[in-house]
Amino acid sequence: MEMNTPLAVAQGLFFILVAPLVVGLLRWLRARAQLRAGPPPGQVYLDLAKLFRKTSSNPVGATWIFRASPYIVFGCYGVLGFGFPLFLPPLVHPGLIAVVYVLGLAAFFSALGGMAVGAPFGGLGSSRTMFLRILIEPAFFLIILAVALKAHSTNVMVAIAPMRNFPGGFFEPATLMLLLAAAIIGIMEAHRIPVENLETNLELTMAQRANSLEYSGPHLALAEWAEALKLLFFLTFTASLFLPTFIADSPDAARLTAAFVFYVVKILLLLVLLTAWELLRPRARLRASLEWNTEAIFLTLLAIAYTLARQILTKGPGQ
Amino acid sequence: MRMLDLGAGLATIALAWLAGFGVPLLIHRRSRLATAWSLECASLGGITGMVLGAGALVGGGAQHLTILSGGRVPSVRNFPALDLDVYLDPLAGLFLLLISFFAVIISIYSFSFLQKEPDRVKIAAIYNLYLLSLVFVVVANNVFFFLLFWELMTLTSAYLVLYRHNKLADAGKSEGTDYEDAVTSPQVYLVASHFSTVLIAVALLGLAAYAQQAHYTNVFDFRTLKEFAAASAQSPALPLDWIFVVALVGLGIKAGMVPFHFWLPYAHPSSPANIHAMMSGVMIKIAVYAMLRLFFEFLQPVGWWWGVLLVALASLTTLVGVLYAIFNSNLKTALAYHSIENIGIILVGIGTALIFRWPGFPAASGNLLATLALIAALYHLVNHAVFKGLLFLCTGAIEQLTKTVDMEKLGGLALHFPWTTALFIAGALAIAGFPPFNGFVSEWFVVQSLLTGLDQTAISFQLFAQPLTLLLALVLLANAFALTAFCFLKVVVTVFLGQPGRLAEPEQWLKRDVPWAMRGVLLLLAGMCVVLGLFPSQVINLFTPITARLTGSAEAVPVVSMGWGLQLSLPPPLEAWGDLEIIPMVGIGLLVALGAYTLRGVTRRQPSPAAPQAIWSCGSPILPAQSQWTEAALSFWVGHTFGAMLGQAWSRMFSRRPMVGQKAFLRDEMRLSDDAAAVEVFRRALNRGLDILVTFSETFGSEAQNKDIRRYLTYIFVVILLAFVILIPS
Repeated sequence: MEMNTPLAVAQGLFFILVAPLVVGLLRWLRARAQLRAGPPPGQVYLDLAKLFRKTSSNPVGATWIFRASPYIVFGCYGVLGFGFPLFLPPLVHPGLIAVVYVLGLAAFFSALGGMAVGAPFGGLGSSRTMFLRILIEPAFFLIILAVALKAHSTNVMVAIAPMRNFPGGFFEPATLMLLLAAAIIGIMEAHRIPVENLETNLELTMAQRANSLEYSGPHLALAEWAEALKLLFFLTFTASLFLPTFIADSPDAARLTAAFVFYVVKILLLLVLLTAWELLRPRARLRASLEWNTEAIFLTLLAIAYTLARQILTKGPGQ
Repeated sequence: MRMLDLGAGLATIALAWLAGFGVPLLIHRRSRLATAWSLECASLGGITGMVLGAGALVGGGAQHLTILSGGRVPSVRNFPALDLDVYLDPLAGLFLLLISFFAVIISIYSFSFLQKEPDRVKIAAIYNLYLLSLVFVVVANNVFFFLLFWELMTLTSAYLVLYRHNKLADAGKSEGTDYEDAVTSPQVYLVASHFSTVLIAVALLGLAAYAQQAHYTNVFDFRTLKEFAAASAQSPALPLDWIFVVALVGLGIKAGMVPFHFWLPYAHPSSPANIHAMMSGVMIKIAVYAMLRLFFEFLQPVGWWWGVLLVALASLTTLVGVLYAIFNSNLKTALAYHSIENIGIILVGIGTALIFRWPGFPAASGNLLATLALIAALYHLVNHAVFKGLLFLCTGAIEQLTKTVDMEKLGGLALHFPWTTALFIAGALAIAGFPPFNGFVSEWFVVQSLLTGLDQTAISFQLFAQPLTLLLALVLLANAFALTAFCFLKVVVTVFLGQPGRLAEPEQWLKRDVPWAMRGVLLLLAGMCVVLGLFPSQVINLFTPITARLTGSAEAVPVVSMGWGLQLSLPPPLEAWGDLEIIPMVGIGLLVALGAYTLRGVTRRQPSPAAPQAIWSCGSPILPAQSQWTEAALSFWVGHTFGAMLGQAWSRMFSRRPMVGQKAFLRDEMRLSDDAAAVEVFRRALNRGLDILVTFSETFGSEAQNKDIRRYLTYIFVVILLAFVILIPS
């Protein structure tokens, strides 16, 4: 597969830079749907810029772990932009399994940061996010295994290949089941509505939010940016692996533009769907995530069973 | 590449370690000198062993040597069963290297670690003998001497397990559950180990008897057994299944495989931390070594269900190990449970390899898949030794700094001991399997081999059990990996972060971080975690001769190409499966992140905040030490999700007090109490089993031995009858 290094780097930077806009768009869409004016989508950048200009607070008992965590979390999510195809082949082919672990590393340090000074609400956030994590991670892992079994490879570009020939790869039972499972897991992992309402600031209902409660200034900016990166990553993950995908192999301007527009349209579509979902659903209790997770795992296992059964019946690699 | 002659090398090792054992017993009054002598001998032997092991591993060939011929003993002339034979092939070389490396670094660590230890002479002396037994188990080439050194290994380590008992007795605390635990732990250890030795002996002797039946001579020699296996692989005639089961149980006990693991978290933590590192990091892997020898070299052909059984048990082991680790508040016990978990991961690799060694599986992809799975197992074995060594030695450091390893009494160590904290976190990241550390690569390998295996078993579908087991293993491992990350998050948070807890006595803690001898060893191990994570290909390619021998495939297949990260270069039909270029990428990402963090401190335009501010508590003042989250509170949701698997252990942890109400979430009321700790399902099962056995034998025994002469005469008659029945046909 041809790889164009400057373009791949540009893609990664685009991923990092555009992530706050996605959060802004989500807020704006929600406001518009509720017939409010709402802040413009670009407001998130202004907020981040303001935070970056401020001084970071230094709570009692803070060590280097507290201060370094936001950087590490941001670094982990940032790396994913260079290892996952948006509209171009990525800079490195990470192997899908590695994605789970990189996300895990980010979650680990995010939780460490939340607990770093022993604040009461930090523990609340850490224990809840880590509980969600131990539910999400196996399910996410299994989704990735299902994808790998379907494609006979854990290489992300090989796994994505069926999605690139449009009707055949998409309208397949296993893909549709996995799409649903990935949507559930993405919503849980990004802490969107039934799991957590990120628009509120009520300490007792916080999960992910509480992890960054002690942070301020640039640290807080990094933490919020990292959350935006996570959201964008899960949108991209769902959009690229389970929806029809168009990847520009060659740096030809027309193909590149087409792939880019296709990607943006897909993300916008998912954002509209997410907004609609969040408007229709109330926030659920933490305990309910267990049921969600079970549904996702069940769907994934069905998809795996379908893939394997097809292989066994045809006595040869599927597709 | 052979830098050292086998005989000379082993003689040096044996002499050094015997001197390290013997001399201190003579000069034990001058304990400082005696300890130093012991540890120096241990390092010297270790360095020799490293050279020898590395030579065998890199050289690729096998060396054989008869050190002491049984024929030279006058009364047992020409009795080859008593030949002290040694055999060093790449597999033995790898283990020799591992043991010797840890012998060296643990000796260096022990120079400072044992400084204030009253029992230091005894520990250091026995440590030498213990090392000797480990090395000779690995190189022994004879059933008799293998079992002899196996037994020596058990006895020397049992002495070291007595440590906690001795310490409590010396302190005059010879009462209470703590002391009872300390008394019973070496007993449990000895019973379990001897039971395992018996089973291993039965398996090996059964195999030797089969070889004898097939008219082989010198059947106690491992090489004969290997020849016998090669012959029986061609024309299988004998039932080997029972040998497999007996050996699996025997070695499973020693390795800590569920459901035979119960003794391990009970016995290992009773030894001093440096020995604990050796036991949990290296010794339990000797059982894995024996499994590799037995299942891949001596027992052929492989039955279809062997691998299936092993994978099923091993994947269960990972989950059970990590769950019990989460619900344990003693750091050493929790780490011992994690050893069980990691042994499970290693055994999953070995079991997967066994599945594909089944002759019914298409040989072309079978050999390749077995190779992949073996590499996963071997690499995880090495990695686990490194990161677990790091974690255990860090725990030793914590014990020395704070006089406790009870997580409830720790907290806020990062404020006092930055080095230990950073190094422990490195070990935690490695064991949780995060890139760019080494645990990630081997866990990735295990998953990759399971996944390719699942794919191939489905393609060349023969048995339903095979894909089903591999899928089960994947599901259980996925859970275990997530839970390991959680467990170590909990450990790092409770031990190192926040403020010293409510039960902590920070005024008794040492004022300074550990001395440089210990710190250097920890740094070396942490560095190895990173190097083994960033350059896995270089190490994995060393395994090629081992896997070629174990899978019996003529040509060695290098499965990875060299360079940064990892790229599988598999021949067809597996060429499409995965690569791993992201490891260096994550490394770079982390470096950039940390660089940004450091630079921000340097180039900051604003003055750094002068005084630390209070933490956010909704506006009302709080006492941080009292109001921070405890480990029990942190793991509540895990208990909620997985509690059913743990029997009463978890529910007692929480249900003894109401969750709501002002007293909830406090440390002492939430801890896993001693009686709750005693209810681990498997130990209860064992106790129940023993109970039944004792009752049965009591009833039966008193009935059978009723001192009636007629009954005894009947016994004699039955025995003679049986002897006729057995002997006459032959």
